[in-house]
Amino acid sequence: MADPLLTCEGLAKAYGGVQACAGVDLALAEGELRAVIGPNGAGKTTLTGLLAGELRPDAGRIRFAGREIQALGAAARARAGIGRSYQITSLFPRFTVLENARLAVQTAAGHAFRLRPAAGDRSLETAAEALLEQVGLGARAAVPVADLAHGEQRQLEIALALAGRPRLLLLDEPTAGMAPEESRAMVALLQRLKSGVTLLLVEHDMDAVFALADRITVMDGGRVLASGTPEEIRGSAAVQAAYLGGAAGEAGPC
Amino acid sequence: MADGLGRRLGGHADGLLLGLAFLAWPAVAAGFGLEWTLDLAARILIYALAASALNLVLGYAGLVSFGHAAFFGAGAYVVAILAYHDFLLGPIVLFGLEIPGTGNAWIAFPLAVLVAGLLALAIGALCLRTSGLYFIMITLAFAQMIYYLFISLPDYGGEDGLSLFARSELRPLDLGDDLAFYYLCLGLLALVLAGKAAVVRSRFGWALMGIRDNERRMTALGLPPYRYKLAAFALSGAVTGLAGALIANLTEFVSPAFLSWPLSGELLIIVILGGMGRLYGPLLGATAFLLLEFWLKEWTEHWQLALGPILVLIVLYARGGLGGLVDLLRRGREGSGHG
Repeated sequence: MADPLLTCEGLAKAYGGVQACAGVDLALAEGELRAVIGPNGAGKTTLTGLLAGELRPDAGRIRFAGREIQALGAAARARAGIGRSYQITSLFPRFTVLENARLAVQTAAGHAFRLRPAAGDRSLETAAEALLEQVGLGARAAVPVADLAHGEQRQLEIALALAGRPRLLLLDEPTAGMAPEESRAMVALLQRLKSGVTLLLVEHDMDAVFALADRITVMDGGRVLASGTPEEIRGSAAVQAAYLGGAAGEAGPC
Repeated sequence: MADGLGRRLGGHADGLLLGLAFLAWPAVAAGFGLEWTLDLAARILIYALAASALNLVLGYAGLVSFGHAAFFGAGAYVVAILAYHDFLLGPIVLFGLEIPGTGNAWIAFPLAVLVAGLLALAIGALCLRTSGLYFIMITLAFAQMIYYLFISLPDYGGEDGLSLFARSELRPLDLGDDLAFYYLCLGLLALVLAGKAAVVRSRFGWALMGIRDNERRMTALGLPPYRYKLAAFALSGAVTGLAGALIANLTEFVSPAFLSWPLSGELLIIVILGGMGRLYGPLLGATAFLLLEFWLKEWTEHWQLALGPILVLIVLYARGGLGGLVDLLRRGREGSGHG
């Protein structure tokens, strides 16, 4: 196999006494879709924060596309090719769908110290429209974001993350809070994206995970419990015991 | 609230109407023997200019600066100190260099803008490492430092301030003529508003609004917010310095009051009163604020006691300030549900 696109070694982050990530090792091959699963508090969201540069690791190294990036801030990592979406929808609610996409495109296009009006700038709006088309929001361009359905907001969330043409996309629970139908549409969208970009997908919806993932990493208590193909993970006794089985054992009737 | 085209044109209509009123006012005032109001009207324009500069950071970048008096006062003092050296003290000696003073506005005004801009760059570079309440307090702290610095400079009048012996020279205009000075203020305000309209619509303006609404998301998209906020802050400070240069000429007197925190507060009130993030909000706000102040002062010396509740009512019931109120009234019953 060629050099991995992303590797991290011994990535650690503690909040007070709680070890949210306790030495995470991970390697992502270019083009793969990696799902990260685990119970609440396993450290999945902390991991995405560390990879995106929003959180500073206490220890550990991150290599991305042949370069050490743990010292880079979030903006620099985004420009280096790491895009992300948020578990809690994070958009510009006062703007329309097109304005959101245009803002993301202009940011990706580099510095913004220019005096031409941004609205009506074809070089921006063509790219923004293509982006919306890609996630299935082409017909909703003029709608204020506040008026979008939840599922559509999640789609726009993906569009913004794609604007910088990232090589790696970090998706934190893209189907969070979605109705089953919206969830299916999101899975179809991710399926389409899969061929063009490496994806790290944090997800609770197991149907989505097993439908999409090339490989699955299971986390628990801030550590990687197991990594493997969906079949391996499904068959792993350790995963069964610690994650699926463990939860069932504790919760009893649930 | 949608930032649609109709709203933008609507905003322009209001602004142009108000602008025309100011354009025509000297003629109207002359007709009714109200020439004395020119001074008040010029003051409104100057405060509107300063508040427009503040609006760039407050309304578009979401930065609550409680220290803009520092830039206003800096602009005023640059003009006054240069004139004072020209007239009385002889050249300014700085690091062994002799710099002649000047009463020439073509030199003094750009210098006022430059000094205020550099001051804002320095203060902003430090303050913008904080945010929220800390940012408010630290901008206030820096402004107070400048205030006390000028109080402790006896050469420049200390607490008593400094008188100008004449208004700046701006050939071919004669600023000693109140009418010419009034139209200079109006022209500069129009220029600043046109410039601000361009900035706000540009990629830079959108980046600022993006930072205001969701800084975390902008960062994740690859934009380093600090640089953009600093650029906006320095630009805002520079334009505030121009307002300071004008106020020094209007009153032909500068004092540390121009640097004091109540002035920073008044500028904030004017922006909020007119409507944050609205192009003409500061002009609307300055007009309302200074007229209210004027009338209430006629009526009682405790004018602030009456002004306070009026401001509270407007802020409580007219979200978007007076600008929002105007929008609401124009649209009448048809579509005022979302405001």
